[in-house]
Amino acid sequence: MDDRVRGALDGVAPIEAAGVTVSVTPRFDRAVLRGDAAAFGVGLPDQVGSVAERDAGAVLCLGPDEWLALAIPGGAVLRVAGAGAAVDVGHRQTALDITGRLAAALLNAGCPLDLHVTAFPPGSCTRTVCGKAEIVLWRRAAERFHVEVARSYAAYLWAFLAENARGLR
Amino acid sequence: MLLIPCPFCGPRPEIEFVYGGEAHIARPADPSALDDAAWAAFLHTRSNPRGRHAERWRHLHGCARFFNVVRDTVTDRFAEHEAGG
Repeated sequence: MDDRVRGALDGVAPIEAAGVTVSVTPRFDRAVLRGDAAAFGVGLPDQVGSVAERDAGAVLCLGPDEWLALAIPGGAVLRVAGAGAAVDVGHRQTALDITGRLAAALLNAGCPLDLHVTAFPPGSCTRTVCGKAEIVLWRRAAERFHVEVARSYAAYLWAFLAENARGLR
Repeated sequence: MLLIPCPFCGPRPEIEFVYGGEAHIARPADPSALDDAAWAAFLHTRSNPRGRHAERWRHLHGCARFFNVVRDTVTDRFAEHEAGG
């Protein structure tokens, strides 16, 4: 990915509220993989909604033939042999890191999913909505979420989360 | 809000889906052979039953896949999934 391209939320200070902190993650590579799991050089999770962590990165299974690779370095993820397609989407999305006791409560201000730790346990991922924006949600730990949002929606989602964080108790 | 059973993701909130209309509507193989009434019937006429209704949904803000499911139009209860088409 090209470091000369500005991020959607460059230089924004984290949202600090009672029980939750929202910050913009450092930038990393992303790729969308579509097709047969066997066509790709990296091992892919086969259950929709599951995550395979690789070093600092991860591969999220979003659909029966769709994966989102996050922070897998070296370009290995873009090598395809067979019926598949890998597309670099490094600049398409911005990632937020939401941590704290009320992280799920903050997301539930705009996300209709049941985010109780038994219904959506750590290691789960899915595409869903938050407010008016589509997001990809990955629960890294009981009180830590990774949120991928299209860069054109990033400012909206940030303002939405900042506003709703004010109401948390 | 309805909870719609996605065959890949399980029951999910309605807001993640878009409706795809009645299932099993086959496009005529040779549209030019049809008269206007038959073509209009293919385009616009739907069964609109009271009760079981086979319909298409797309889990757009989820796995993004289309699927067929039977819904009761009286109770809004979802019954079994069907093969695609």
